[in-house]
Amino acid sequence: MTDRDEMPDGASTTTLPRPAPDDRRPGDWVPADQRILGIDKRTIWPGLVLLIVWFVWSQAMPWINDQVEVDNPIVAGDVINLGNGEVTFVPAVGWDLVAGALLVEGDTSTTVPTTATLVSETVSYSAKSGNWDGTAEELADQMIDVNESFEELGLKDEEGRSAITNVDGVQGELVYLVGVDQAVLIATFVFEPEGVATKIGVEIEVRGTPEQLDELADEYAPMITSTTYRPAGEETN
Amino acid sequence: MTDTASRTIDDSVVAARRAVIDESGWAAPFRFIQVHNFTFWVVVLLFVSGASMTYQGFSQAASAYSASFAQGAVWFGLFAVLFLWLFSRLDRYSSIPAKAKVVAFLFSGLVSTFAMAAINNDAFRTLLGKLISLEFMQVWSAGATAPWSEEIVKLLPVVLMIGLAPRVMRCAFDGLIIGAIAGLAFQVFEDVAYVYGSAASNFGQAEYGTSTLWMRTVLGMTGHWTWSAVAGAGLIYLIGRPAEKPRRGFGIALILSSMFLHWTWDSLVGLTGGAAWAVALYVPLTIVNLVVFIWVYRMTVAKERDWARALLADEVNRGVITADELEASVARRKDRKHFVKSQPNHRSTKNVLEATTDLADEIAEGYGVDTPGVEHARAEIARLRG
Repeated sequence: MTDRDEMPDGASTTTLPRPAPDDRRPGDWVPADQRILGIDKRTIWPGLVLLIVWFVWSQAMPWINDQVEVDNPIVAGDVINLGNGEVTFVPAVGWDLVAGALLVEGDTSTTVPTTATLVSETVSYSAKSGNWDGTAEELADQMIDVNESFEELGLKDEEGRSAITNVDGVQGELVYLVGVDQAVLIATFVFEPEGVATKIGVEIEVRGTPEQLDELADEYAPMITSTTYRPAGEETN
Repeated sequence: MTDTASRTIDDSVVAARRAVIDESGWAAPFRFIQVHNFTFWVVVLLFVSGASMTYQGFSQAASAYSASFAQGAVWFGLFAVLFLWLFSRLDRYSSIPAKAKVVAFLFSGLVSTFAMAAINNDAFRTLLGKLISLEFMQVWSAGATAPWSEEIVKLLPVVLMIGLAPRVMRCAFDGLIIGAIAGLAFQVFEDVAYVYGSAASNFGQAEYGTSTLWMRTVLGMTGHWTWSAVAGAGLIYLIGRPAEKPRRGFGIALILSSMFLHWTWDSLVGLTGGAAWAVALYVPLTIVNLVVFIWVYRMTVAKERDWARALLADEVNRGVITADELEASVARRKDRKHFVKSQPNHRSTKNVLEATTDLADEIAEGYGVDTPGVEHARAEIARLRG
């Protein structure tokens, strides 16, 4: 820790019989005038910078975000676009769109997200489209496995499984899982566009307590069955 | 460090060397555990938080998307090793201790990425969606968030290193190297998450993660590590260090240049209206990233080369190396290669230059006196000369 002004007065031409001693302070030595409660004062500002950034990034910003209510209600006629304007569903009027995009006539932009999330006061509804080569039943199994990995429901039981049909007559799979204090309804469809090698899967998760899911079934059930694949230009539901 | 030397030495030489060693922090040791150091305790706290969040996220992903997670972790692990090796080649003189580099890498990967940037990015982007619109969020929020959110947290390893090892962090070049390592760590940890995230978007099918893996590899040749290296040097210019007078305006300009390049990179979809040809713009952007990095590298490394030259000056007087060899050993790579080719025995000249760098390290390690280590390094040069 020798600073330049503490160098030995070294400009002489004498020779040293022994190596000049290493007069630098040991690394853990804190000068008396730099101590405060046993801490080296000079190490406080970098630590404070780390703490402040950590606090703003991981605590303050999420808190600010939580203070702002979602106010993006669905109105009659809205259609959600789950990609390319071809996979769509009709959301329940009054639910808030938290993430995702509404269908805009003629827009086939690739920037449209392939997921959408809506919330009512108590229940959340999220839908996702993507490539899937298997059946709707296999897709439901896969998503149960993924959910298990994330342990979002804690211990859970599969309470029921049934086939469902969308408004175009495409068959899908519906699974109802009940966890410790939450339940989830998983619905899957697999669409086979003509002339395209890959099939398109859609997975829907509706989450809430079992009572809340019962109560709002009339609102979200039509969302599930309105999920369709229609080639560009024919997507009007 | 004060082993008995086998010969007497001129103390003016020792004094001159020590002036260089003190100014440069050459061979300064790095200790992680420092109970009197406030920064140390904060770093420990944040490591616990960051490591547990990363473990939680990664272990769930490893279970849900095991193939993609494994592919991403192995591939980007190798990518990180390759780039760390390249950075160590750049950091030839007054090198930052390996332990310090490990701490910077892990802090950026575990804490900056998952305990800070990921949380802030999500919250701020959601906020933009609520306050402006979901369309705006989709197209512009990455560019409106990542350049400040991520560039700032990637600078934290530079700050923590000033707190933990002030003798190591002496000049802008040290900021450049720690910044590059922090950017690399951020990038590879994020890339692993992108790979399994891409598989997750397609219901966990690994092949969709693989295409993202290739894309992130190509795009990751520059980007995070170059922006952070430039910003890291900029931060040192902004605040100043014992061997670096503050150049505040220039420091801010370097940091802002990284944020601007990051913004451009993240806003291509919005800037081009989502056109398919926009992907081609990553080529000139990659070149710009690299050119800015090389420019700042050349500017900052000059001081380290001057130190090496000063530390080894007496070795020319002693006849251990020639003046030309000294100049070549502190020259740019191209000039060094040119010198090697100009000599009759290329192999031995190359080895002598490498051993000259070892000798500089030994002199700094011995704090300017001729320790047995220094004598050995000199004997090595003589041996390699053949």
